[in-house]
Amino acid sequence: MLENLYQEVLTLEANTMEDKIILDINNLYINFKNGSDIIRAVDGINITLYKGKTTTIIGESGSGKSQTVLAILGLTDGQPGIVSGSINFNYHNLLENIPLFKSTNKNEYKKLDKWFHNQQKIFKKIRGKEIALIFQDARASLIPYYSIKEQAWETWKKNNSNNEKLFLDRIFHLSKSLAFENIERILSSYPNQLSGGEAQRAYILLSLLGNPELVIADEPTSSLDPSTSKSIIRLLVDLSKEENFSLLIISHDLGQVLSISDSIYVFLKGSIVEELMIDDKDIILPKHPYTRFLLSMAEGKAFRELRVNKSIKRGNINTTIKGCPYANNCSLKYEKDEKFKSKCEELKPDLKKVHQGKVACWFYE
Amino acid sequence: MIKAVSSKLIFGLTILLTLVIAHIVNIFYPNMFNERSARNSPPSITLFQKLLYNNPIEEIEFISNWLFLEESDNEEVTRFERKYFLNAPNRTATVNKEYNYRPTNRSNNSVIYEVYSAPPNFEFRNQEFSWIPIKENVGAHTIILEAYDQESNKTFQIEYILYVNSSFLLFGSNNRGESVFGMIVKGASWTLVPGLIACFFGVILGLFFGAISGYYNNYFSNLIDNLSIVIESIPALIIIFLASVISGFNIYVIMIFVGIVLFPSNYENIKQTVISFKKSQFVESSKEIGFRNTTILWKDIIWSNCKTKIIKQISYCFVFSITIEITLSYLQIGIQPPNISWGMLLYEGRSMLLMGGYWLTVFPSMIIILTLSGFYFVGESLSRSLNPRS
Amino acid sequence: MNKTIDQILRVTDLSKSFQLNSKTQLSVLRKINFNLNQGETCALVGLSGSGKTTLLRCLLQLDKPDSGQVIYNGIDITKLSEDDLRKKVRHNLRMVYQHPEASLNPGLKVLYILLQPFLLYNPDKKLEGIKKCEEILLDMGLDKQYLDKYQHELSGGEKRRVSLARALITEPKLLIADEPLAGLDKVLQYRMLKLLFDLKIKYNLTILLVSHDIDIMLEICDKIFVLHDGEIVEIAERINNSIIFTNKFSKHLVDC
Repeated sequence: MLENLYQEVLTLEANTMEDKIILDINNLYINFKNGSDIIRAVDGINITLYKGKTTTIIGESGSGKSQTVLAILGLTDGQPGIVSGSINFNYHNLLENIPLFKSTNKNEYKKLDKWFHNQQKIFKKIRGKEIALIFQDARASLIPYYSIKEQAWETWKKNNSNNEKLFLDRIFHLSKSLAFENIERILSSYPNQLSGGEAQRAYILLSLLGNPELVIADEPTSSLDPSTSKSIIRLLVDLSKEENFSLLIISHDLGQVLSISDSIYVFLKGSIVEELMIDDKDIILPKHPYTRFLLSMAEGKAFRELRVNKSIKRGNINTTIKGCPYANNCSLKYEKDEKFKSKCEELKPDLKKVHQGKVACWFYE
Repeated sequence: MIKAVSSKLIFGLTILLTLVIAHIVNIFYPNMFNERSARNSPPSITLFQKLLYNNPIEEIEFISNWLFLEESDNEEVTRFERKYFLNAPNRTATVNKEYNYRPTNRSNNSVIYEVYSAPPNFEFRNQEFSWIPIKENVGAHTIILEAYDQESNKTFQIEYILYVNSSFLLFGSNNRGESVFGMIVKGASWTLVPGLIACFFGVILGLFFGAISGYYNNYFSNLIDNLSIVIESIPALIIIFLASVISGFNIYVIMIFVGIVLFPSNYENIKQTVISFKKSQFVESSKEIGFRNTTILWKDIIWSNCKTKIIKQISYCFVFSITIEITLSYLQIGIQPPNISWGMLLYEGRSMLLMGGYWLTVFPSMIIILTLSGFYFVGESLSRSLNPRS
Repeated sequence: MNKTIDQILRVTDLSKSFQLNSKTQLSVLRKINFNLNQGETCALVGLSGSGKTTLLRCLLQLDKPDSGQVIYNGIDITKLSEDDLRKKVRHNLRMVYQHPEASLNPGLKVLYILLQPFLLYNPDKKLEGIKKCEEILLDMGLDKQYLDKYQHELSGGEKRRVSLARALITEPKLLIADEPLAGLDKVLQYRMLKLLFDLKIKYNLTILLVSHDIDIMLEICDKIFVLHDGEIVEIAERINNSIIFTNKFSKHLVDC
């Protein structure tokens, strides 16, 4: 009887204990100058990462997902780059004292540039140590003149002590988790001597040396074939549990990350159109038509329909700024009347809370 | 095609236009500047001289050639000249203006002056000279005074040169009384046509053979390759000097050889470009569409992609050939008298420099610099505006 | 035999080998046989190095095959001279290249890139040609302002569309697309294929795709030719809405 009570208390505690927030992005805006146009690469997004969870950001190329992640580490291109918002890492705002962005003229950009330049020292403290970023092409990101062990040693020395024994202990510990068959061979090879999968895993090894709290993987599998991709993602998730870090994966392929994510953010043209909080990994019901479309592609259904599709609906690839970002290709808007259709094209919907997350679509109002 | 007309382009084109006008003037009015006038006359732009002479000369212990001449109190002399000439040696005078000269010295001894040699209308009274230069006085005069130092009982001869300019001669005149401006205009006729010849032999032939060798790799291309290597290995100056001597200083033959000197670099440049484009996929796709080889070579590769290179090469070729022509004329193995070239002017001006006659060197040099930079600017701005990547 | 009327392309016993040096000869294609019917969407799959590129070049007569025939609409094009090829065949048999950046002329505006092929086959019709260029860009989802741009001002996707427009401006009957989906993420792959299918309906094309993306090809094609080591090891047709591979190697490709 006492045992049952004890169990009940534990479960109650687990359910009411708030998950610790490790990274909180609020109202982030990132702008780019392209010739004379200003492109809003990231248009007011909010992301919350919880400790110990795996979060995924899904979107096609150009949707702003890479820019968001670069902003976390202060690696965005100036011109002007980050213009507004806050990024709270462990309750410390990385974008503090950002000048108030009023209009798009040169003086504002100069102020932002200056602020960004000064802010670099704060970013430098967390780069590589508390937040690690894994880029897309491992072989291009590793230094070709140093062997893996030498690079690891350089990284270790920079962020930690000069103690060689600690370094070797950590390297061998990580190598075991990364499932290298022949650890010595991998460590003494140069990056171009490794296969794609091995290079990616070596890169992960380097990122984890400093024991980061948050690991961000930017399209870790785009340059690899499907079976290796699956194993790399699986590896990252297992490591996140073992080494106790939170994981943020950026991908464009919903199929690969669906089974391993705790929450999914869907990006489209710089805005988040859906947030999925996944409790049960077997039942995932996306609501936003774009997410549904991505899901149908991951399952292969979309391509099947192509073959029998007889309609020639021509949409311009350059879209307007106002309105829902999916308005041009959305099939859902045709299910209601003309007024609804013009609403989708004129007004941009906000994220509204629904079951299993949030969605930004007028259909769900 | 030409996106923006930049100021550089306008400047360069103005200069080119001026050259063309000078050329036309030389063809249709060859005797325009033949009139001889006063010898060694300084330029009529007195302002230029005034700027040069605004530095006081240091004090010297003994009487030297450069006397400090002070201005007189005669009110007819204009205010401006009075203000100016107080602290500087008065070495120039303009026609129909009165000048009063009183020689002074920096030593405390008393000196008595006498005229030894002076131009005709000099008047000497009370240790003071007065002079109104007239039109026939334009040119250089040497005035020699005898100074008798009473205390040391010595007599010195002091000589100085006085220039009288005329508002007629814009840039002054040389030893034979020819106007420098006229000679510059005459020399302009050696810039365009020789440049064109060198351009044809250097750039056009280089383009033609380079394109063919790059695209069709055959026996002929090997031959031209070897030929260009041979030309490249002989020092350029030797080729040019030999050309000038052997051809009997015929500028057109010299320019053919200047073109030959420029041929190898153009040839190789174009050839490499064509080879690299030939490997690219758009040439393949042109073949797949059905274009003929000649069309692909001349339209797709050369016309669409090599325009910037060629324009730059042409402008460089002009600059090079003009420089060679000036150098050869300066060394007197180029254009020979009675033809006049800018290099010859520089040569004559060398000796005048020592006597203070800067105008035979400065003005031709300025014109040369303007011309060369004009060519450069035109070439650079044209190539930049035709370049799709700018 | 209705087949000869519907058959737009027939390849019989095509072989090609390259002379590496004076001693070795590398045999790349060995007795290739396959047919394409009008209106089909077919795929040519195989590993890199299996001879796909060489086969395409032989089909387009950019390299002459050592033996065998390529019969387009009843004419054996291997026997034709370059002039005849230009008159009869080239404008009907077009290819879209794998790397769009490399296949567009960097010194020409998009208008001229598209106008050149048109003027080659319709000389002296410049105004008509310009109108057609605008039309075809609209089909690709690009508007008129793209006509004045140069190749380096376009994004990757726009370059792909322009090279597709360039292939379609001569109104071909057969379009060969070399790895059109390589390097694109899933959504862009879908959009590219949708574009191809829409164009296929509008221009009444036959499409031959070369790709290593078997999963997608299985969903969208009518026939799949599997090329392995210089030979066609299987021609799989769509029966009852699905394609099933019987050959060992083909199955191996799917599993990867």
